[in-house]
Amino acid sequence: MKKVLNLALGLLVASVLFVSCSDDDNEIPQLKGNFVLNEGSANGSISLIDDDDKVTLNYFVAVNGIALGQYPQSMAMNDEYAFIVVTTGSGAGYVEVVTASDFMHYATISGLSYPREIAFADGKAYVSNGNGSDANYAKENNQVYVIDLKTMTKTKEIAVGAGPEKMIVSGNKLYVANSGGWSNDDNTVSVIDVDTDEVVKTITVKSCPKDMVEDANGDIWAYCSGVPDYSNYPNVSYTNAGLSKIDGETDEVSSFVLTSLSTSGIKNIAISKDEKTVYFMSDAVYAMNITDTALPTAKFIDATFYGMDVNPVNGNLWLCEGTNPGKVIVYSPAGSKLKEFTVGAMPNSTMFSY
Amino acid sequence: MKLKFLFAVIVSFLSFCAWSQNIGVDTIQIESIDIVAPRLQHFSSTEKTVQIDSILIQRYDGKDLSSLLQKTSLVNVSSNGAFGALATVGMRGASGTHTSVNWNGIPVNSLTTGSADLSLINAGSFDQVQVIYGAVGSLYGSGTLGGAIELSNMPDWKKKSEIGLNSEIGSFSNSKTKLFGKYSNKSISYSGQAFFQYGKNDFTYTDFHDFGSPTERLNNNENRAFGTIQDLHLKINEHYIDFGAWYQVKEKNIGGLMGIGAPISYQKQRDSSFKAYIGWKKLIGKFRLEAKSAYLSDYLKYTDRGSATNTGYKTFSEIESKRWLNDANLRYYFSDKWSIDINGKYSWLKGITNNYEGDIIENESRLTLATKYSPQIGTFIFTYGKEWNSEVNPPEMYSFSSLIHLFPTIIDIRSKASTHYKRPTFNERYWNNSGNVDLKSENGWNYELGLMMLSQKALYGDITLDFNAYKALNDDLIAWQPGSGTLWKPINIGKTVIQGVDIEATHFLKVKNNNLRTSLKYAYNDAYNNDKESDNYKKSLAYRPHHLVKFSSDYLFGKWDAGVLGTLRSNTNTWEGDQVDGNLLVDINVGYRFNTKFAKIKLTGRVENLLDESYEIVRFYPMPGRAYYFGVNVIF
Repeated sequence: MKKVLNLALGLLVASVLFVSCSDDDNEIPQLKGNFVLNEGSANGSISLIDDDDKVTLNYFVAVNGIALGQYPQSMAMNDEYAFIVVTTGSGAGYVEVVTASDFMHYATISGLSYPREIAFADGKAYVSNGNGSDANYAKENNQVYVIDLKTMTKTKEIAVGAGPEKMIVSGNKLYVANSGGWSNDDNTVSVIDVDTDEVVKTITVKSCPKDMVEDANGDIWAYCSGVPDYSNYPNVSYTNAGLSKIDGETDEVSSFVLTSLSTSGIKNIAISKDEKTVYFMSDAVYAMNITDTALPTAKFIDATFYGMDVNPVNGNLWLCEGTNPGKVIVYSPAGSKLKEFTVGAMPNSTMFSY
Repeated sequence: MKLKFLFAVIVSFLSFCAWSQNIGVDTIQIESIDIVAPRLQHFSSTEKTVQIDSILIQRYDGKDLSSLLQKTSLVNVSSNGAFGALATVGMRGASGTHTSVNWNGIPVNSLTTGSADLSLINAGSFDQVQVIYGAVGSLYGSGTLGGAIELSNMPDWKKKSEIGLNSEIGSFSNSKTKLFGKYSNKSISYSGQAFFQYGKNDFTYTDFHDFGSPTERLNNNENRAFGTIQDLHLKINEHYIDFGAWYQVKEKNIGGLMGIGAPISYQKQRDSSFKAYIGWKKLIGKFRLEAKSAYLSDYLKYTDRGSATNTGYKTFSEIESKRWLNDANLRYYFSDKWSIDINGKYSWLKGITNNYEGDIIENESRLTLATKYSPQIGTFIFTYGKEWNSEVNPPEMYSFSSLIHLFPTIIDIRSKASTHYKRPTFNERYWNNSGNVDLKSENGWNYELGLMMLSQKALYGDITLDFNAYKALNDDLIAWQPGSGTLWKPINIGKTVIQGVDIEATHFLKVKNNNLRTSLKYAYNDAYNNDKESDNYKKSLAYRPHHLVKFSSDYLFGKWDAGVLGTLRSNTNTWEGDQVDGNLLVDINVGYRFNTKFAKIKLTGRVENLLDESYEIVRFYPMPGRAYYFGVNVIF
């Protein structure tokens, strides 16, 4: 009875909050809104913030009547489906697939041990997987899985570096940030040809690349958080941290050294709406023109956050405070605070659907 | 504050009354049990102390202590899935870290986590299991906000010898065998046991956290354990000397969780522990002297392969602790009604794990002063305790308690005001990337008022009733809460209030060879955050049910016995505000005993979770459905 009520509530919420904006019967209408992904502690969740700033907590549960699972890590959407990557703590991670039109459960991609991110190219999906370490926290390389989007199953495993995280598709290339995972021992970006699904190049960047964006010139910016030193915990220092800019044509790398890192964030870089300004975090949020040859010294927002995204339509920054309950604070492209929302526990990112 | 003042007035008045009694008794007659019994038992006479019925201990002999307490006592068991999975017990709205578990007076709570994992303790390994609700911090030390559990193996000075075997098989490929032997005469009392347990524990359950609520089978949930407990008591020229040793190993595969997808897990845990003590007691004139020294070593290895194909480990964690505990006590009897105790403790504590920045060693000492006065009107106890720790400096501790025979043989009244504290555990202080050496110790006051109706003839039998109301104020409660990412961190969450009532009634009916014993217990508890600065102000603490009900009825007729036992637990919330539904569990059992020329034999059968209820205690951890057990007990 409770599940029926949950389902009814979910359908009601879905029908009230969202409208189809397409007249084309062949197109699947997508839900509209800002989906905040909350890692949670025992269980993750999704908070939906609509255009009227109404927040619906536990949206996934409201629609599906089922908890999302432990430690959802990232989320992405294509025309038909939204994909929520759930890492779990038990070695049985999965990608929960919901239909883009109503957010109802469609499939679960299983057989993943420690999935982190998902990207789409050439009619396929790619899931980065693995924690990057063995039992002694020594480096252990991992993989990217190729997913058949018709069957929602794994079709191929591509060996990459340790602890693969963020992936960016640029042309027919898939860039994979090898963060080192729990070993903190990697400083490479793997380049996969999406036509052959083979690694064609491995690029050396600063240490522990975790997050990436592509700019207007087609260059890839890798945020490298450096090797942490916990010996003076709770004071943590980082070595060889920086921003590495990978030329989209030649794959040549130019890096900027980051010092004074104090962020504990995991999504630390974002690109502006026009893709000409890179936002990144160290001891604050900074804004850097993609043609600059030196890091900015002026702080754009004098605070650090757990996650950072840019709304691709209006260019606002959505910054996640990793607390319980969590908070999302929205800043304008000019750096002024616009509004804030209380969301689920440990929000790490926002996915925008228009 | 008013309540505190009221208690102070009551205690002062009662103390005055007590002191005004004639205490000049030349001839002191000290009960021998007072000499032999564990020291703290001397001071438990004003506490609400419930001894688990030996019938129930025997019935659940093959289970762990958490199962026994969950079914029989007004305690809140937190279990990650039964059958050897981590299980802790909280009392009166407190958590597992606020329950002190003692074996023959030796605290066995984990040095590193602060709580005792009751899945490591066999229900049937002890002669006596006592639950002391609201045990005082000045006597028990750190971490007794909720109460204490005393596990005792008692000496027997009668000439006796027996050996025996208890064996049980059950659902999900469970089996357990205990071999035991006892020998005693006027100078020696020995008891020893060895036990072996195995369970595949691949039970099915309804996964109501997965799409379509499928029926799933838990795999990777195998559990095996073996161990031995040895007790030797000597009485030589009125010197009482005690030896005890307890060694056991448990290997447990940790099953997957409920939720989307199959319950996949590659986790495994091995626990081994060795505990040993030597004690000495002697009555010299009006002095009772006692000294005890104990050594405890605990080892835990946790591994997670992460995937079926991984031949190494995704996670490998070892944690070991060593403790050397020393206790000396001097009791002086002013009379057979009035005594004073001076107690000193010294403990050496060591934590060893790759999860700390090197080995951690702490030294701890404690001084306790306690006096007990028992005139005809009742019993009055005052205690004072002060602890010194090389890293954390706990506050001074006090307790005032009384038991008044308001209407002798009919109504007793119990009252208590005491302080409590809990120092941060090793993990809370030293765990890499999580621990916080600046955590404050919890501390606060407990108050209790109780009314007991002693055994009275009514409803064709004998009825007893015990009613208690309590309140505990705690500053700086420590709780592990979500930190950054998947990291949980211990923090002081501020002030909390725990208050409630518990009621226990028993009825005993005997008609010729028919005995019917019925027990009904109810607890109401409200544990909430009372910190005005907190976002959770006035919200209930996680995993604290408001209502607990325990019901049992046992019928004995000649060689047969049969019983039914029910437990009801109301809904709880998780730390994230999600609800865990309550549950109603019913067990039934039957037994038949007979004697042969060589042995006394008892055959038993039991059905647990008769209603086959799918439930959780901790969210996402499935609990087993209906299960059947058959046992045989043989004493030669």
